[in-house]
Amino acid sequence: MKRAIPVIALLCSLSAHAQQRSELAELLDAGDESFPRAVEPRAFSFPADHGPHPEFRNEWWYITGNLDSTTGRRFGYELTIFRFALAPRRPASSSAWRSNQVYIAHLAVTDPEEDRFLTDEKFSRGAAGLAGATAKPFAVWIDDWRIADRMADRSAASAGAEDGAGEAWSLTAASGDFSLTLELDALKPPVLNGQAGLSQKSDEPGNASYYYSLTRIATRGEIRIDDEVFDVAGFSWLDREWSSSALDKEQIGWDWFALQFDDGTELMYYSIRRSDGSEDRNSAGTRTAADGTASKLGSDAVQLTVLDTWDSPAGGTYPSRWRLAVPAEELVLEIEPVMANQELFTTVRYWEGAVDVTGTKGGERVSGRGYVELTGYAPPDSDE
Amino acid sequence: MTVVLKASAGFLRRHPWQLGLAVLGITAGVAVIIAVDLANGSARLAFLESLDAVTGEATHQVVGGPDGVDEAFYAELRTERGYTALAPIVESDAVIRNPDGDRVLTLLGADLFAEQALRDYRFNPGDTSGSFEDLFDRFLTAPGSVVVSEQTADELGLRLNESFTVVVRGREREASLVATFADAGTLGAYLLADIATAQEWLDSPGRLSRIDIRLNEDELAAFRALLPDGNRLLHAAGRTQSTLEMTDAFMINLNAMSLLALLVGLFLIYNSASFTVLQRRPLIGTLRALGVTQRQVLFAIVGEAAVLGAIGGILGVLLGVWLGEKLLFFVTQSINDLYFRLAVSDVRLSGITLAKGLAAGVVAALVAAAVPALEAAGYPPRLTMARSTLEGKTGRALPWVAVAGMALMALAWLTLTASETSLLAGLVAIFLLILSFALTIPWIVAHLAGLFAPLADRLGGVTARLAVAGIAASLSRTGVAVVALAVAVSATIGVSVMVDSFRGSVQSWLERTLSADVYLGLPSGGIDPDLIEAVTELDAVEAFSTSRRTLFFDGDGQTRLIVIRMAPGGYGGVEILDADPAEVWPRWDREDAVLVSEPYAWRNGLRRGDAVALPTDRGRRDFPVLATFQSYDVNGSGVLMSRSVFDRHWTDTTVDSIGLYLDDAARSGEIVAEVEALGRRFDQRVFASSNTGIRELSLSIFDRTFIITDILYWLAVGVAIVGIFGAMLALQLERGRELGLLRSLGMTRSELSGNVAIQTGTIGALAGLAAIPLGIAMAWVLIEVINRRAFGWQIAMDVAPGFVAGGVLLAIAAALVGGAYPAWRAGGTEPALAMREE
Repeated sequence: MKRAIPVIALLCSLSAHAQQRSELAELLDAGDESFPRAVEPRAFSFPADHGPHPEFRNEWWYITGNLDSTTGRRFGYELTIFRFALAPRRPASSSAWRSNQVYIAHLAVTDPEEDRFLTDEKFSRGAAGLAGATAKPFAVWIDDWRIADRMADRSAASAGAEDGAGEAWSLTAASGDFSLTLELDALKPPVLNGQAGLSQKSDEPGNASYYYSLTRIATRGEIRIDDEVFDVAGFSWLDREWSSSALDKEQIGWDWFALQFDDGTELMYYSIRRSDGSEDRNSAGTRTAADGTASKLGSDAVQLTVLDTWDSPAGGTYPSRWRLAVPAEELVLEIEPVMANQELFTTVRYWEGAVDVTGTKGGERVSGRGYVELTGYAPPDSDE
Repeated sequence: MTVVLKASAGFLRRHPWQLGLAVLGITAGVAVIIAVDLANGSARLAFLESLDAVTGEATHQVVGGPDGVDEAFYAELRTERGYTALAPIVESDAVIRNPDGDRVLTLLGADLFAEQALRDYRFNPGDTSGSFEDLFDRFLTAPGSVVVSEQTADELGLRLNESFTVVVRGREREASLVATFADAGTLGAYLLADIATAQEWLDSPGRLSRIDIRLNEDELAAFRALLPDGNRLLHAAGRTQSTLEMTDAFMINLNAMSLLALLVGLFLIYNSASFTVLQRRPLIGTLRALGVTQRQVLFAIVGEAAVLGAIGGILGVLLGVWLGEKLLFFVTQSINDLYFRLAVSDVRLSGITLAKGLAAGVVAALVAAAVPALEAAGYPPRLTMARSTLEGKTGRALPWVAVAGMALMALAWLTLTASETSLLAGLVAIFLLILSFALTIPWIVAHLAGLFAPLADRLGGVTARLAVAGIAASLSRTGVAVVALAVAVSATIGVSVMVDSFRGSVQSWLERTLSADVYLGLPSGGIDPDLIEAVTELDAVEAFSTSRRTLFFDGDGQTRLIVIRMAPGGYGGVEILDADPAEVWPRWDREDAVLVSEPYAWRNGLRRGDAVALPTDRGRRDFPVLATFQSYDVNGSGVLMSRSVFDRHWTDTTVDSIGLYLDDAARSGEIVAEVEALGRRFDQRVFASSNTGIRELSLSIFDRTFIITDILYWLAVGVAIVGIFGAMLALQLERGRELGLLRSLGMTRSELSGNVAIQTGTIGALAGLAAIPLGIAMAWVLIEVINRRAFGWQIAMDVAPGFVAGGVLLAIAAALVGGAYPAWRAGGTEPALAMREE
């Protein structure tokens, strides 16, 4: 019997965020030679590299953050915009709709006080002004979900305003029952992950991405849930990554940690899991000092232990508490979600949520907040 | 009771002909109702379902002027206004070449990303081409990728991943089938492509045909405030409704035809069922004499009728479904010819339709049997066995029945005059008219037969005289059959006269309207301006006209605007009905005013001096009506506007067709060839034809539309022939004793056969004569009432004597065919045997 394919399934198949799916791994690993690959370090230039790299197969702008309202209420949020190229080049056309670029976005707000996790998802072609990204001025958007250079938007009105040394962006995204209106100001320059921004994901050359982060972004603005509006402030994190292929077939998923400590430092670590249960040796991270100096963390420099698990009502067991140790720094951390259920039922199921961090560094107490992403835990047959 | 049942079963077993005819009558009547109902219903349902599928959850549509909606407005709604449940559509006709005849589909250019908020299109996975994402990749990024329903692909021989030619706006484009709809044929009339492909093919970058959107009632006002000038917000359901309403008149006419067939069928059912009772009067008398009660007799007869009705009903349903499939083809073809793209995969069996057909069969059989059953049961036992009682009674009742008929006729007239514009009332009047004639016909026939008898004597001697005199005497047997035949024949006369008058009017209208020598056009519009220039600069072209047709949907209906740039000699082609042309034309060219077609004026209650509101690019505007003009355009044509006026209010510069006036009309053929060559040079396949060619094409479409009408009235005639056959057979069986007597008195076999043939032929002739006034009256009502009320057309009635004579001949032929077997059988009567029968 033939199975009818609804359009949504086609869209699912494009949403390659959780690249653990074997068919998705195939898609990404198809190794279409017409797409350039990340094989060697490149010179990064900002703000140009905040803009799109459409010649690469996929790319994302990944913003997560922990915010507090003036009334003392805790929130987490995520806005991610993915770009996928369906073909290396846009076919020539008189129609503005003709495009080889597809954009997908995920939006989530964590509201632990009400035990609410609100999510939404958008799809669009990167054409006809509906979705896209530009470098100068910086903007990336899909419909009315938009991250853009605040200064550039303003300079249109009052030319010659302060020349943005750091990133001063605005973020707006509205779903039916919730919305975000935030101002983002990067407090540190971009941090290049991996080898000067080349992040190797498996042993095969070219299975890598270009990867940088803005690890500490001062954030203030409004969160609206139903008819309630909260004035909020806190810190956000931006992950930027582009590549034409990433995982190999034995790599089934990853656990990603982005932690911001009260002492002004940050730590990012991703642990790639192999199908035999082991941690891939290409797992890696970056430690950022308070002054913005970054140093690479190899998989041998980090010890990650799962302390607890959470069973998703939809099937699948996620880790839900970890011990993360960096022996060289005498850093021992315990990481715990602010809410167990921060699982996104977008076209691909994954867990992405706000966490609290406590622990010691050289015997001194440290604490902080962060975001964790867990992919590849949902059983394959419960994907929809 | 068992005695009665046994008697009943025994009778039917011994008279298989009676049994067969009774069942056949019911079967035929039921089949026709079912067939028409199914064909109409299936076409309607297929249209609604396909429209439902492509409307999805959209509640409204944003439409613009003739050149559509600016796509920037769509982007604004999404990126700045936060609307999410909306999708852009670029739509047009697309022709797929096929050896069995080109197929016109609706090209639907859609954005699948946006579609998921409104519609649920589903695709069959490609057989070999692998993964979903590959399908989606190609649909989005490979220009020319399309999806059609599996059935359409099969019919047109399209294969997955193979390319084929699509003609859009006259240009040949290469398409490739990347998937088929998993839709059970609902989307059979559609060709889905990415919106970019559609814009490329239509050569209309930046423009959308419409925006489909889902809005709540409380969002409407705010949304309307955002609409740019010249854009309007329509109710999706309203648009579906007004599209469907175009076919209402067509479907009502078909239903009327099916009711006509049903009516004839009912006569036949009555005829057959009552025979089985009448024939058994002696048997019933015997049973009553044996002590069976009235009630028992009544129950037995009615029960038997119910069983026969059910059997005939079931057979009728089966036959009707089969017939419905055949009819559906013609119905679909006509709708495609006249109204919109429709693909109907198969007949949809609706429980209601089937129940209706079955109930008609059973009820008709019960009613038909009840009258004679009551009568038979009511008579004293011995009297029931005498036949003369019945004839005598029938004879006495005739004048009263005829009076009732006259009363009905008056009622029909009252209905017509009192109802003004109601189409339904018009149809009711037709049926009252038929009933009134049906009631008077036996009386007329009896008198005519009386008048004919001496004539028959002079012409054919005793045999003939006996035969003709027998008619009036046997009216209880033949009356209903005569009525059925007369009604069927009158329907053929009425419909023939109507269609012929209509055709004549259309023909002279076409001759007048097509005043240029050569026409070229693109049904979907958009002739290349360079091609227009090249064509109009040909040496032989002395003058030219251009036209553009565009459809405005509005709150409660639609208006077709025809924009014409007249050639100096072209004004005469439009017949102005209610004003002085010399005064109208200069104003029409100069002022912001319009002409409206007669049907449009009729439907919208417009007259000279009123105004038509049209959505211009700068908002709605009233255009005064200067006059009405004649038009037989099925889609109601509508509003005729001068190009110079149009250009002042709309930016659209498209031209759909051009009329060329030549220095020498004889060069038409040569110029058509030149225009086609120019079309090839500019890579646009325009349709080019001489005015005679278009006239022929138009008339062939006209004729094709009436094929169904033809089929239906031949069905009615067929049913009537079966009725006559049954009546004649029964009559001759009954006359067995009389025939035996005639044989023993020395009549030869051939004289006996001749006697029966003369009788049936005369019955046919009488029925035919009686049908003439009814036929002409029906033609009049069809032309002056039904067509006028349904379409607003005024048709010049023209009664061609051929149709009248043809009707009478048809009646005679039908009667002779129906009577052939009984006549042959009569010839074989064995005198002694026949007389000993009792």
